[in-house]
Amino acid sequence: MKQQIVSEFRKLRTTRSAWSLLAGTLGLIALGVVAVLWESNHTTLAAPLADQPVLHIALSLTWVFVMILGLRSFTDEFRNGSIVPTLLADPHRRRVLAAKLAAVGAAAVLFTFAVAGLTLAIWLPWLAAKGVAIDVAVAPLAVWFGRLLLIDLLFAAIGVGVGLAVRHQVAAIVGSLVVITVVENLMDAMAPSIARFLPAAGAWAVAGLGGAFMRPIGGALVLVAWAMGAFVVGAFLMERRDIV
Amino acid sequence: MQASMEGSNDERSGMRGVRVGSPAVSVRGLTKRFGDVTAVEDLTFEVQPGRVTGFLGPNGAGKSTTLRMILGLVGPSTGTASVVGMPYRDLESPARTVGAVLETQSFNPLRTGRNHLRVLAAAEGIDDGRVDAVLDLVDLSAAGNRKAGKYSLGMRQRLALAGALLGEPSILILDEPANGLDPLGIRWLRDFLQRFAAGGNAVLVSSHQLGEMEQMADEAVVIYRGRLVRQASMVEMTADGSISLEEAFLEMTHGKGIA
Repeated sequence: MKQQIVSEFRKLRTTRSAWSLLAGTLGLIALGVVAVLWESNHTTLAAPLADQPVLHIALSLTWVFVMILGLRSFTDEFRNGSIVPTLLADPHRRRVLAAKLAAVGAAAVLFTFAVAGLTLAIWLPWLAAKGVAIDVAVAPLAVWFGRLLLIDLLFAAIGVGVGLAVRHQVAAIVGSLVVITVVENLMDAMAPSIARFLPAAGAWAVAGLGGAFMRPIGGALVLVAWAMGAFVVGAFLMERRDIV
Repeated sequence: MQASMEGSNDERSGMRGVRVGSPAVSVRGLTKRFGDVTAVEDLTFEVQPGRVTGFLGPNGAGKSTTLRMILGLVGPSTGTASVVGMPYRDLESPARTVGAVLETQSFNPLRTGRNHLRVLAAAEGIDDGRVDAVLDLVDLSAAGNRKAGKYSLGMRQRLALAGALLGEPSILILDEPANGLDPLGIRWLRDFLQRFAAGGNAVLVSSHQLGEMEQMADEAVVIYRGRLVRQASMVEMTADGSISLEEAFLEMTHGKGIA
Protein backbone atom coordinates (compact mmCIF):
# COMPACT_ATOMS: atom_id res chain seq x y z
CA MET A 1 0.00 0.00 0.00
CA LYS A 2 2.81 2.38 0.90
CA GLN A 3 4.49 1.71 -2.44
CA GLN A 4 1.31 2.53 -4.32
CA ILE A 5 0.84 5.77 -2.39
CA VAL A 6 4.42 6.82 -3.17
CA SER A 7 3.76 6.03 -6.82
CA GLU A 8 0.57 8.12 -6.81
CA PHE A 9 2.42 11.05 -5.26
CA ARG A 10 5.02 10.78 -8.00
CA LYS A 11 2.28 10.86 -10.60
CA LEU A 12 0.99 14.12 -9.16
CA ARG A 13 4.44 15.66 -8.85
CA THR A 14 5.88 14.70 -12.21
CA THR A 15 3.48 16.39 -14.59
CA ARG A 16 2.48 20.00 -14.74
CA SER A 17 -1.24 19.24 -14.50
CA ALA A 18 -1.58 19.36 -10.72
CA TRP A 19 0.75 22.34 -10.41
CA SER A 20 -1.16 24.18 -13.14
CA LEU A 21 -4.41 23.49 -11.34
CA LEU A 22 -2.92 24.83 -8.10
CA ALA A 23 -1.61 27.91 -9.89
CA GLY A 24 -5.02 28.46 -11.48
CA THR A 25 -6.72 28.12 -8.11
CA LEU A 26 -4.37 30.59 -6.45
CA GLY A 27 -4.68 33.03 -9.34
CA LEU A 28 -8.46 32.99 -9.18
CA ILE A 29 -8.48 33.26 -5.39
CA ALA A 30 -6.10 36.23 -5.54
CA LEU A 31 -8.29 37.94 -8.12
CA GLY A 32 -11.42 37.29 -6.10
CA VAL A 33 -9.91 38.46 -2.84
CA VAL A 34 -8.52 41.64 -4.38
CA ALA A 35 -11.83 42.35 -6.15
CA VAL A 36 -13.80 41.94 -2.92
CA LEU A 37 -11.38 44.10 -0.96
CA TRP A 38 -11.37 46.73 -3.71
CA GLU A 39 -15.15 47.01 -3.52
CA SER A 40 -15.29 47.00 0.29
CA ASN A 41 -15.81 50.13 2.31
CA HIS A 42 -14.49 50.74 5.80
CA THR A 43 -17.60 49.28 7.41
CA THR A 44 -17.39 46.07 5.44
CA LEU A 45 -13.69 45.71 6.09
CA ALA A 46 -14.26 46.15 9.80
CA ALA A 47 -17.03 43.53 9.99
CA PRO A 48 -16.63 40.51 12.28
CA LEU A 49 -14.66 37.60 10.83
CA ALA A 50 -17.74 35.48 10.22
CA ASP A 51 -19.20 38.19 8.01
CA GLN A 52 -16.03 38.93 6.04
CA PRO A 53 -16.88 38.34 2.37
CA VAL A 54 -13.18 38.04 1.60
CA LEU A 55 -13.09 34.75 3.51
CA HIS A 56 -15.99 33.41 1.48
CA ILE A 57 -13.93 33.42 -1.72
CA ALA A 58 -11.83 30.43 -0.73
CA LEU A 59 -14.88 28.58 0.60
CA SER A 60 -16.70 29.12 -2.68
CA LEU A 61 -13.99 28.27 -5.20
CA THR A 62 -11.28 25.94 -3.91
CA TRP A 63 -13.37 22.78 -3.82
CA VAL A 64 -14.21 23.08 -7.52
CA PHE A 65 -10.52 22.83 -8.42
CA VAL A 66 -9.87 20.06 -5.91
CA MET A 67 -12.80 18.14 -7.36
CA ILE A 68 -11.27 18.51 -10.84
CA LEU A 69 -7.96 17.21 -9.48
CA GLY A 70 -9.82 14.19 -8.11
CA LEU A 71 -11.74 13.68 -11.34
CA ARG A 72 -8.47 13.69 -13.29
CA SER A 73 -6.73 11.16 -11.06
CA PHE A 74 -8.38 8.22 -12.80
CA THR A 75 -9.64 9.80 -16.02
CA ASP A 76 -6.08 10.84 -16.94
CA GLU A 77 -5.00 7.21 -16.61
CA PHE A 78 -7.84 5.88 -18.71
CA ARG A 79 -7.29 8.61 -21.27
CA ASN A 80 -3.59 8.01 -21.81
CA GLY A 81 -3.55 4.25 -21.22
CA SER A 82 -1.32 4.34 -18.15
CA ILE A 83 -4.04 2.51 -16.21
CA VAL A 84 -2.62 -0.70 -17.76
CA PRO A 85 0.88 -0.51 -16.22
CA THR A 86 -0.69 0.83 -13.02
CA LEU A 87 -2.85 -2.29 -12.65
CA LEU A 88 -0.06 -4.59 -13.78
CA ALA A 89 2.16 -3.21 -11.02
CA ASP A 90 -0.60 -3.66 -8.47
CA PRO A 91 -3.51 -5.81 -9.64
CA HIS A 92 -5.43 -5.19 -6.42
CA ARG A 93 -7.71 -2.50 -7.74
CA ARG A 94 -9.15 -1.37 -4.42
CA ARG A 95 -5.62 -0.76 -3.19
CA VAL A 96 -4.94 1.42 -6.22
CA LEU A 97 -8.15 3.30 -5.52
CA ALA A 98 -7.23 3.80 -1.86
CA ALA A 99 -3.76 5.02 -2.84
CA LYS A 100 -5.22 7.52 -5.27
CA LEU A 101 -7.62 8.75 -2.63
CA ALA A 102 -4.73 9.22 -0.19
CA ALA A 103 -2.63 11.12 -2.74
CA VAL A 104 -5.46 13.37 -3.91
CA GLY A 105 -6.52 13.92 -0.30
CA ALA A 106 -2.99 15.06 0.54
CA ALA A 107 -3.05 17.35 -2.48
CA ALA A 108 -6.37 18.76 -1.21
CA VAL A 109 -4.67 19.58 2.09
CA LEU A 110 -1.89 21.34 0.16
CA PHE A 111 -4.45 23.31 -1.88
CA THR A 112 -6.28 24.29 1.32
CA PHE A 113 -3.14 25.53 3.07
CA ALA A 114 -2.01 27.43 -0.04
CA VAL A 115 -5.38 29.09 -0.56
CA ALA A 116 -5.80 29.98 3.11
CA GLY A 117 -2.28 31.36 3.27
CA LEU A 118 -2.76 33.43 0.12
CA THR A 119 -6.07 34.82 1.36
CA LEU A 120 -4.56 35.92 4.65
CA ALA A 121 -1.42 37.21 2.92
CA ILE A 122 -3.52 39.60 0.83
CA TRP A 123 -6.27 40.40 3.30
CA LEU A 124 -4.31 41.27 6.46
CA PRO A 125 -1.82 43.68 4.82
CA TRP A 126 -4.77 45.27 2.99
CA LEU A 127 -6.50 45.93 6.30
CA ALA A 128 -3.31 47.40 7.73
CA ALA A 129 -2.85 49.61 4.70
CA LYS A 130 -6.41 50.91 5.05
CA GLY A 131 -5.95 51.49 8.75
CA VAL A 132 -8.71 49.04 9.68
CA ALA A 133 -8.25 47.30 13.00
CA ILE A 134 -10.29 44.12 13.53
CA ASP A 135 -10.07 41.36 16.07
CA VAL A 136 -8.36 38.55 14.14
CA ALA A 137 -8.89 35.81 16.71
CA VAL A 138 -7.46 32.35 16.19
CA ALA A 139 -10.68 30.46 16.94
CA PRO A 140 -12.87 31.88 14.16
CA LEU A 141 -9.99 31.62 11.71
CA ALA A 142 -9.54 27.98 12.71
CA VAL A 143 -13.25 27.37 12.12
CA TRP A 144 -12.95 28.98 8.69
CA PHE A 145 -9.90 26.86 7.86
CA GLY A 146 -11.57 23.72 9.20
CA ARG A 147 -14.61 24.27 7.00
CA LEU A 148 -12.38 24.91 4.00
CA LEU A 149 -10.36 21.75 4.65
CA LEU A 150 -13.43 19.58 5.22
CA ILE A 151 -15.11 20.73 2.00
CA ASP A 152 -11.91 20.24 -0.01
CA LEU A 153 -11.25 16.74 1.36
CA LEU A 154 -14.79 15.57 0.69
CA PHE A 155 -14.81 16.98 -2.83
CA ALA A 156 -11.43 15.31 -3.46
CA ALA A 157 -13.11 11.99 -2.61
CA ILE A 158 -16.17 12.83 -4.71
CA GLY A 159 -13.89 13.66 -7.64
CA VAL A 160 -11.91 10.41 -7.38
CA GLY A 161 -15.09 8.32 -7.16
CA VAL A 162 -16.93 10.08 -9.98
CA GLY A 163 -13.84 10.01 -12.21
CA LEU A 164 -13.52 6.29 -11.67
CA ALA A 165 -17.19 5.65 -12.32
CA VAL A 166 -17.38 7.79 -15.48
CA ARG A 167 -13.82 7.18 -16.79
CA HIS A 168 -14.25 9.52 -19.80
CA GLN A 169 -12.39 12.68 -18.82
CA VAL A 170 -14.39 15.29 -20.69
CA ALA A 171 -17.68 13.73 -19.68
CA ALA A 172 -16.61 13.54 -16.03
CA ILE A 173 -15.36 17.12 -15.76
CA VAL A 174 -18.00 18.80 -17.91
CA GLY A 175 -20.77 16.68 -16.40
CA SER A 176 -19.71 17.52 -12.84
CA LEU A 177 -19.44 21.23 -13.59
CA VAL A 178 -22.84 21.21 -15.25
CA VAL A 179 -24.36 19.48 -12.23
CA ILE A 180 -22.98 21.95 -9.71
CA THR A 181 -23.60 25.09 -11.76
CA VAL A 182 -26.70 24.41 -13.84
CA VAL A 183 -28.57 21.42 -12.49
CA GLU A 184 -28.30 22.49 -8.88
CA ASN A 185 -29.55 25.99 -9.70
CA LEU A 186 -32.48 24.59 -11.66
CA MET A 187 -33.28 22.19 -8.86
CA ASP A 188 -33.02 25.01 -6.37
CA ALA A 189 -35.65 26.94 -8.33
CA MET A 190 -37.95 24.00 -8.97
CA ALA A 191 -37.49 21.75 -5.96
CA PRO A 192 -35.51 23.45 -3.18
CA SER A 193 -36.30 20.70 -0.68
CA ILE A 194 -34.38 18.27 -2.90
CA ALA A 195 -31.72 20.73 -4.06
CA ARG A 196 -30.34 21.15 -0.57
CA PHE A 197 -29.16 17.55 -0.66
CA LEU A 198 -27.00 18.12 -3.75
CA PRO A 199 -23.20 18.49 -3.50
CA ALA A 200 -22.74 22.23 -4.07
CA ALA A 201 -25.57 22.96 -1.63
CA GLY A 202 -23.76 20.77 0.89
CA ALA A 203 -20.59 22.80 0.36
CA TRP A 204 -22.47 26.07 0.88
CA ALA A 205 -23.98 24.71 4.07
CA VAL A 206 -20.60 23.58 5.47
CA ALA A 207 -19.22 26.99 4.56
CA GLY A 208 -21.96 28.59 6.62
CA LEU A 209 -23.42 30.16 3.50
CA GLY A 210 -26.40 27.88 3.19
CA GLY A 211 -28.81 30.26 4.87
CA ALA A 212 -31.71 28.73 6.67
CA PHE A 213 -31.86 25.65 4.44
CA MET A 214 -29.20 23.61 6.18
CA ARG A 215 -26.74 23.93 9.03
CA PRO A 216 -23.04 23.16 8.53
CA ILE A 217 -23.30 19.73 10.14
CA GLY A 218 -26.14 18.85 7.77
CA GLY A 219 -24.05 20.02 4.83
CA ALA A 220 -21.15 17.90 6.03
CA LEU A 221 -23.40 14.84 6.20
CA VAL A 222 -24.64 15.54 2.69
CA LEU A 223 -21.07 15.75 1.38
CA VAL A 224 -20.00 12.62 3.27
CA ALA A 225 -22.94 10.77 1.71
CA TRP A 226 -22.00 11.95 -1.78
CA ALA A 227 -18.33 11.10 -1.22
CA MET A 228 -19.17 7.62 0.08
CA GLY A 229 -21.66 7.05 -2.71
CA ALA A 230 -19.20 8.08 -5.42
CA PHE A 231 -16.45 6.02 -3.81
CA VAL A 232 -18.57 2.89 -3.43
CA VAL A 233 -19.91 3.08 -6.99
CA GLY A 234 -16.41 3.74 -8.32
CA ALA A 235 -14.92 0.85 -6.35
CA PHE A 236 -17.69 -1.51 -7.45
CA LEU A 237 -17.22 -0.64 -11.12
CA MET A 238 -13.43 -0.75 -10.78
CA GLU A 239 -13.59 -4.34 -9.55
CA ARG A 240 -15.95 -5.51 -12.27
CA ARG A 241 -14.80 -3.68 -15.34
CA ASP A 242 -12.55 -5.13 -17.99
CA ILE A 243 -9.54 -3.01 -18.92
CA VAL A 244 -9.61 -3.33 -22.70
CA MET B 1 21.27 -1.08 -27.90
CA GLN B 2 22.93 -3.25 -25.38
CA ALA B 3 21.94 -6.87 -25.48
CA SER B 4 22.43 -7.71 -21.84
CA MET B 5 20.61 -10.53 -20.14
CA GLU B 6 17.68 -9.88 -17.86
CA GLY B 7 15.53 -11.99 -15.65
CA SER B 8 16.43 -13.59 -12.39
CA ASN B 9 16.32 -17.25 -11.64
CA ASP B 10 16.42 -19.24 -8.50
CA GLU B 11 18.53 -22.37 -8.02
CA ARG B 12 15.59 -24.74 -7.86
CA SER B 13 13.88 -24.20 -11.09
CA GLY B 14 15.32 -21.53 -13.29
CA MET B 15 12.28 -19.35 -12.57
CA ARG B 16 10.92 -17.65 -9.52
CA GLY B 17 8.16 -19.68 -7.99
CA VAL B 18 8.08 -22.33 -10.69
CA ARG B 19 8.59 -25.98 -10.04
CA VAL B 20 10.75 -27.82 -12.53
CA GLY B 21 8.57 -28.96 -15.41
CA SER B 22 5.70 -26.66 -14.49
CA PRO B 23 4.43 -24.22 -17.09
CA ALA B 24 5.19 -20.53 -16.64
CA VAL B 25 1.78 -19.63 -18.03
CA SER B 26 -1.19 -21.96 -18.20
CA VAL B 27 -4.47 -21.26 -19.96
CA ARG B 28 -7.32 -23.73 -19.41
CA GLY B 29 -10.64 -23.59 -21.22
CA LEU B 30 -10.50 -19.82 -21.39
CA THR B 31 -13.57 -18.15 -22.86
CA LYS B 32 -14.46 -14.48 -23.07
CA ARG B 33 -17.73 -13.11 -24.31
CA PHE B 34 -18.45 -9.42 -24.81
CA GLY B 35 -22.22 -9.40 -25.09
CA ASP B 36 -23.08 -11.52 -28.09
CA VAL B 37 -19.52 -11.58 -29.36
CA THR B 38 -17.27 -14.46 -28.33
CA ALA B 39 -13.72 -13.09 -28.48
CA VAL B 40 -12.01 -16.19 -27.07
CA GLU B 41 -13.51 -19.66 -26.90
CA ASP B 42 -12.35 -22.62 -24.86
CA LEU B 43 -8.69 -21.79 -25.29
CA THR B 44 -6.11 -24.07 -23.71
CA PHE B 45 -2.34 -23.81 -24.01
CA GLU B 46 0.83 -23.58 -21.94
CA VAL B 47 3.99 -21.55 -22.05
CA GLN B 48 7.12 -23.32 -20.88
CA PRO B 49 10.22 -21.78 -19.33
CA GLY B 50 13.31 -21.63 -21.50
CA ARG B 51 11.36 -21.00 -24.69
CA VAL B 52 10.09 -18.12 -26.76
CA THR B 53 6.46 -18.92 -27.49
CA GLY B 54 4.88 -17.03 -30.37
CA PHE B 55 1.18 -16.28 -30.01
CA LEU B 56 -0.06 -16.03 -33.55
CA GLY B 57 -3.31 -15.11 -35.17
CA PRO B 58 -4.80 -12.57 -37.53
CA ASN B 59 -6.12 -9.25 -36.29
CA GLY B 60 -9.21 -9.82 -34.17
CA ALA B 61 -8.32 -13.43 -33.41
CA GLY B 62 -8.43 -12.80 -29.66
CA LYS B 63 -4.70 -12.54 -28.91
CA SER B 64 -4.84 -9.27 -26.96
CA THR B 65 -7.95 -10.33 -25.05
CA THR B 66 -6.22 -13.56 -24.05
CA LEU B 67 -3.11 -11.75 -22.87
CA ARG B 68 -5.26 -9.35 -20.84
CA MET B 69 -7.06 -12.27 -19.23
CA ILE B 70 -3.72 -13.84 -18.29
CA LEU B 71 -2.70 -10.53 -16.69
CA GLY B 72 -5.96 -10.03 -14.81
CA LEU B 73 -7.07 -6.97 -16.74
CA VAL B 74 -10.02 -8.75 -18.33
CA GLY B 75 -12.12 -11.24 -16.45
CA PRO B 76 -12.79 -14.52 -18.26
CA SER B 77 -16.37 -15.66 -18.82
CA THR B 78 -15.25 -19.20 -18.10
CA GLY B 79 -11.94 -21.00 -17.70
CA THR B 80 -8.75 -20.04 -15.93
CA ALA B 81 -5.44 -18.38 -16.66
CA SER B 82 -2.54 -18.78 -14.29
CA VAL B 83 1.01 -17.56 -14.02
CA VAL B 84 3.44 -19.80 -12.14
CA GLY B 85 0.43 -21.76 -10.98
CA MET B 86 -1.76 -18.97 -9.68
CA PRO B 87 -3.92 -16.12 -10.93
CA TYR B 88 -1.90 -12.99 -11.73
CA ARG B 89 -3.52 -10.96 -8.96
CA ASP B 90 -2.49 -13.56 -6.38
CA LEU B 91 1.21 -13.23 -7.21
CA GLU B 92 3.14 -11.87 -4.27
CA SER B 93 5.15 -9.53 -6.46
CA PRO B 94 3.59 -9.43 -9.94
CA ALA B 95 6.09 -7.10 -11.58
CA ARG B 96 9.02 -9.14 -10.29
CA THR B 97 7.46 -12.25 -11.82
CA VAL B 98 5.96 -10.99 -15.07
CA GLY B 99 6.96 -8.11 -17.29
CA ALA B 100 4.29 -7.15 -19.79
CA VAL B 101 3.90 -4.81 -22.71
CA LEU B 102 0.35 -4.56 -24.03
CA GLU B 103 0.20 -1.13 -25.62
CA THR B 104 2.72 1.23 -27.11
CA GLN B 105 0.90 4.21 -25.64
CA SER B 106 0.57 3.42 -21.98
CA PHE B 107 2.04 6.50 -20.30
CA ASN B 108 1.18 10.08 -19.58
CA PRO B 109 2.62 11.97 -22.58
CA LEU B 110 3.41 14.96 -20.37
CA ARG B 111 5.66 12.91 -18.09
CA THR B 112 9.30 12.25 -19.01
CA GLY B 113 10.33 8.72 -19.86
CA ARG B 114 12.48 8.56 -16.75
CA ASN B 115 9.69 9.78 -14.50
CA HIS B 116 7.25 7.33 -16.09
CA LEU B 117 9.58 4.52 -15.06
CA ARG B 118 10.12 6.05 -11.60
CA VAL B 119 6.36 6.02 -11.07
CA LEU B 120 6.23 2.33 -11.97
CA ALA B 121 9.32 1.56 -9.88
CA ALA B 122 7.72 3.12 -6.82
CA ALA B 123 4.55 1.07 -7.26
CA GLU B 124 6.60 -2.08 -7.57
CA GLY B 125 8.95 -1.29 -4.69
CA ILE B 126 11.94 -1.15 -7.00
CA ASP B 127 14.92 1.08 -6.36
CA ASP B 128 15.24 4.14 -8.61
CA GLY B 129 18.70 2.99 -9.63
CA ARG B 130 17.07 0.26 -11.66
CA VAL B 131 15.33 2.93 -13.76
CA ASP B 132 18.63 4.15 -15.19
CA ALA B 133 19.72 0.57 -15.80
CA VAL B 134 16.66 -0.28 -17.91
CA LEU B 135 16.80 3.06 -19.74
CA ASP B 136 20.36 2.19 -20.67
CA LEU B 137 19.33 -1.32 -21.64
CA VAL B 138 16.79 -0.07 -24.20
CA ASP B 139 19.05 2.78 -25.31
CA LEU B 140 16.84 5.57 -24.01
CA SER B 141 19.24 7.10 -21.47
CA ALA B 142 19.83 10.20 -23.57
CA ALA B 143 16.09 10.71 -24.06
CA GLY B 144 15.10 9.87 -20.48
CA ASN B 145 14.40 13.47 -19.52
CA ARG B 146 12.30 14.21 -22.59
CA LYS B 147 8.54 14.04 -22.38
CA ALA B 148 7.38 10.62 -23.49
CA GLY B 149 4.76 12.20 -25.73
CA LYS B 150 7.61 13.47 -27.92
CA TYR B 151 9.01 9.99 -28.44
CA SER B 152 8.85 8.22 -31.80
CA LEU B 153 6.83 5.02 -32.05
CA GLY B 154 9.98 2.93 -31.72
CA MET B 155 11.09 4.86 -28.65
CA ARG B 156 7.66 4.38 -27.08
CA GLN B 157 7.93 0.68 -27.71
CA ARG B 158 11.33 0.61 -26.04
CA LEU B 159 10.04 2.66 -23.11
CA ALA B 160 7.24 0.14 -22.64
CA LEU B 161 9.78 -2.69 -22.76
CA ALA B 162 11.91 -0.87 -20.19
CA GLY B 163 8.88 -0.75 -17.91
CA ALA B 164 8.37 -4.48 -18.34
CA LEU B 165 11.98 -5.17 -17.41
CA LEU B 166 12.02 -3.01 -14.28
CA GLY B 167 11.27 -5.86 -11.90
CA GLU B 168 13.79 -8.25 -13.51
CA PRO B 169 10.95 -10.67 -14.20
CA SER B 170 11.29 -14.29 -15.19
CA ILE B 171 8.35 -14.15 -17.61
CA LEU B 172 7.77 -11.67 -20.41
CA ILE B 173 4.36 -11.24 -22.04
CA LEU B 174 4.51 -8.94 -25.03
CA ASP B 175 1.75 -7.88 -27.40
CA GLU B 176 3.12 -6.98 -30.83
CA PRO B 177 6.42 -5.67 -29.42
CA ALA B 178 8.09 -5.26 -32.82
CA ASN B 179 5.56 -2.70 -34.03
CA GLY B 180 7.33 0.57 -34.67
CA LEU B 181 10.82 -0.82 -34.31
CA ASP B 182 13.30 -0.33 -37.14
CA PRO B 183 15.23 -3.36 -38.49
CA LEU B 184 18.03 -2.86 -35.99
CA GLY B 185 15.54 -2.61 -33.17
CA ILE B 186 13.75 -5.76 -34.31
CA ARG B 187 17.02 -7.63 -34.43
CA TRP B 188 17.94 -6.39 -30.98
CA LEU B 189 14.55 -7.49 -29.67
CA ARG B 190 14.90 -10.94 -31.23
CA ASP B 191 18.37 -11.44 -29.78
CA PHE B 192 17.27 -10.13 -26.43
CA LEU B 193 14.21 -12.38 -26.14
CA GLN B 194 16.14 -15.45 -27.25
CA ARG B 195 18.87 -14.78 -24.66
CA PHE B 196 16.21 -14.10 -22.04
CA ALA B 197 14.56 -17.45 -22.74
CA ALA B 198 17.90 -19.25 -22.93
CA GLY B 199 18.46 -18.19 -19.33
CA GLY B 200 15.55 -20.37 -18.25
CA ASN B 201 12.95 -17.64 -18.50
CA ALA B 202 9.69 -17.71 -20.42
CA VAL B 203 8.50 -15.45 -23.22
CA LEU B 204 5.00 -15.24 -24.67
CA VAL B 205 4.98 -12.85 -27.58
CA SER B 206 2.01 -12.13 -29.82
CA SER B 207 2.50 -11.04 -33.38
CA HIS B 208 1.13 -11.24 -36.85
CA GLN B 209 4.60 -10.67 -38.37
CA LEU B 210 5.11 -14.30 -39.26
CA GLY B 211 8.55 -13.98 -40.86
CA GLU B 212 9.88 -12.37 -37.73
CA MET B 213 8.20 -14.91 -35.47
CA GLU B 214 9.64 -17.77 -37.47
CA GLN B 215 13.11 -16.51 -36.61
CA MET B 216 12.33 -15.53 -33.04
CA ALA B 217 10.10 -18.21 -31.54
CA ASP B 218 10.85 -21.76 -30.47
CA GLU B 219 7.19 -22.65 -30.28
CA ALA B 220 3.95 -21.27 -31.64
CA VAL B 221 0.38 -21.11 -30.43
CA VAL B 222 -1.92 -20.32 -33.32
CA ILE B 223 -5.45 -19.05 -32.73
CA TYR B 224 -8.14 -18.10 -35.17
CA ARG B 225 -11.49 -16.54 -34.33
CA GLY B 226 -10.75 -17.03 -30.67
CA ARG B 227 -10.11 -20.75 -30.88
CA LEU B 228 -6.90 -22.74 -30.71
CA VAL B 229 -5.78 -24.02 -34.06
CA ARG B 230 -2.49 -25.59 -33.06
CA GLN B 231 0.32 -25.49 -30.51
CA ALA B 232 3.57 -26.96 -31.69
CA SER B 233 7.27 -26.31 -31.89
CA MET B 234 8.41 -24.10 -34.74
CA VAL B 235 10.17 -27.09 -36.26
CA GLU B 236 6.93 -29.06 -36.30
CA MET B 237 4.95 -26.06 -37.47
CA THR B 238 7.18 -25.58 -40.51
CA ALA B 239 7.59 -29.31 -41.15
CA ASP B 240 11.28 -29.07 -40.30
CA GLY B 241 11.72 -26.01 -42.48
CA SER B 242 10.15 -27.43 -45.60
CA ILE B 243 7.40 -24.78 -45.57
CA SER B 244 7.42 -21.26 -44.23
CA LEU B 245 5.48 -20.31 -41.12
CA GLU B 246 3.35 -18.08 -43.31
CA GLU B 247 2.37 -21.01 -45.51
CA ALA B 248 1.66 -23.14 -42.48
CA PHE B 249 -0.33 -20.34 -40.87
CA LEU B 250 -2.46 -19.72 -43.95
CA GLU B 251 -3.09 -23.42 -44.33
CA MET B 252 -4.18 -23.65 -40.69
CA THR B 253 -6.38 -20.56 -40.65
CA HIS B 254 -7.81 -20.60 -44.13
CA GLY B 255 -7.35 -24.21 -45.06
CA LYS B 256 -8.52 -27.33 -43.38
CA GLY B 257 -6.68 -27.18 -40.10
CA ILE B 258 -9.03 -25.26 -37.86
CA ALA B 259 -9.61 -27.22 -34.68
